Amino acid sequence: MMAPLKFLPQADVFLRLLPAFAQAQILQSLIRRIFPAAALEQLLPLHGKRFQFQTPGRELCLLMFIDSRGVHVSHDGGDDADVIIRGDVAALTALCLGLEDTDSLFFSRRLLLTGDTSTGLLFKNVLANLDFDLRAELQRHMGRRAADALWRMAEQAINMVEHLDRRLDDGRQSIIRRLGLLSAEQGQVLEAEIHRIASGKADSAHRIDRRRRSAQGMAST
Amino acid sequence: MKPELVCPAGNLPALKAAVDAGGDTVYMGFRNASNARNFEGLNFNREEAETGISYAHARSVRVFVAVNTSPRPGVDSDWTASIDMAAELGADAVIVSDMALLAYAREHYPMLRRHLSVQASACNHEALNFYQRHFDIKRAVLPRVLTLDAIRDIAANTAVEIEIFVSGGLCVMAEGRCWLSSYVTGDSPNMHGVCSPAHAVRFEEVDDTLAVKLDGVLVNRFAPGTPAAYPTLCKGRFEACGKQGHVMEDPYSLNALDMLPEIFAAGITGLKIEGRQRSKHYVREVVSVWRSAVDACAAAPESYRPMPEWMASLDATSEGGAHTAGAYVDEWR
Repeated sequence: MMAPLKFLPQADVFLRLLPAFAQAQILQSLIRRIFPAAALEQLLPLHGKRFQFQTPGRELCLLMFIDSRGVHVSHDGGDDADVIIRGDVAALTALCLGLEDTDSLFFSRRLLLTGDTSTGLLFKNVLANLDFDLRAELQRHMGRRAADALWRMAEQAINMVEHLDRRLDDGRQSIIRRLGLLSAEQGQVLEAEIHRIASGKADSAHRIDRRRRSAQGMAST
Repeated sequence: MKPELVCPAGNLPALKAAVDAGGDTVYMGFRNASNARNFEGLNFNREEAETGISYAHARSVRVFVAVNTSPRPGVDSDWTASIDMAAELGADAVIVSDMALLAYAREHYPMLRRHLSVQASACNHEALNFYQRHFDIKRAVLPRVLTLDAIRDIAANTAVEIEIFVSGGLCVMAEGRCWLSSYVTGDSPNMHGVCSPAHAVRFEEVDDTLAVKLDGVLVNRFAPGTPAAYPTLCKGRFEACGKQGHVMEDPYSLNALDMLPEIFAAGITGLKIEGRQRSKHYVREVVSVWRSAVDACAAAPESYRPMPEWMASLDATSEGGAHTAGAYVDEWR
């Protein structure tokens, strides 16, 4: 079985095709669904805390609030939130569903946590302890046969995207070789940015130019 | 003899991942300051520990419980209660650093194996033999300040089983003696189970540059697009002698896959993977790689070579995205 963590980064490509309100609906639905009644006890230390989930351009901005009645999600901006978690839709979804290693998401800068770090860390660890099983959840809601069919389709889509990724990677290496005159520092910054783009995080070439200018500016200071 | 793979578990899903991925042993801690990974929401309460130990034992996997910080005066009941709970739940060993706790465990639970924690900072065979004579320890986890030659020498001069770290995060490696974070935050790994406690950490982003502060002290700044690291003081970047950089420690992770045949030959019993703070995905990935490597080395040590995909897999999830053999191949300075 293909691990879901390989699925989500590519899912971002498809999610980005949806309008912001549709992305919000999906994330909102997921957040509400991941906390079963049994988990409410684990969430006790988070009662009264406000979490804001936002995408880098704030196209999506959700506020989550937890109290004794459960988990509440709204489109309210939540600018006074205790914790702000910023990332693309795929990274936020992966965090909420526990589908990827969260520390790796933070190391790679796909997720950023600002505000009260204690509350943010507690939230991360409570989520990690929920042991959400995406396939089992799909089976529960759609029935085993339909869920398994959907899973197989997703796996085939992933294989296709990974094939395209490999071809993209070949092109990336070619570009890096051609830019061999860049300094190591410039190359590192550019490499990291291209990797972000190849992961489906950015969608147009002007961002490469922006980072290149930034790298060149940094190297000249 | 094939060394035992000792794997981290910070919660129940991670424990199951470690067991399912081929770990021989899982180590864990309870949800209090009695262990060196005392982070918010991490570790096990009694019910979770009971479930986890049952899950592991049903699959012939052993469970060690870390009670490896120093009891604080007046609140030491958390530490003795943790020893009690480990014994009651059927843990296979407790990993302890404090002498009073070792004595407590020996007196109350003589049949429960006692392992000397890395936090005890025992760096020579005489120290291990001392702990064996007085507390009947069966195994010691060595600090990451020793070369492989030194480890080989220690193993040859003691009957205590030797366990070493082979994978995962590195710090300045003065385990049990590091008070660095307490100068800034008031908390230390030795007494509170954390360096860089979350209450002191703040991340701020301005123009895509990520700044990391500990109690208001700027310890690192990450340029746009560059990977971030844990917000620890030892891996901060500072200006010294006119240069800016990692003055104390680079943010790389330990990876001893290259050295497995030498480690096998050194008479080491346990290979420990760091990472109780990490997710089940990390645990599953890292344990799978190490299971494959240990089995391959045991089958044919002469022809053993780490597979490139093992290295890539470990680097992909590691802090800093790169690895080092740490002090194993060089004198620690």
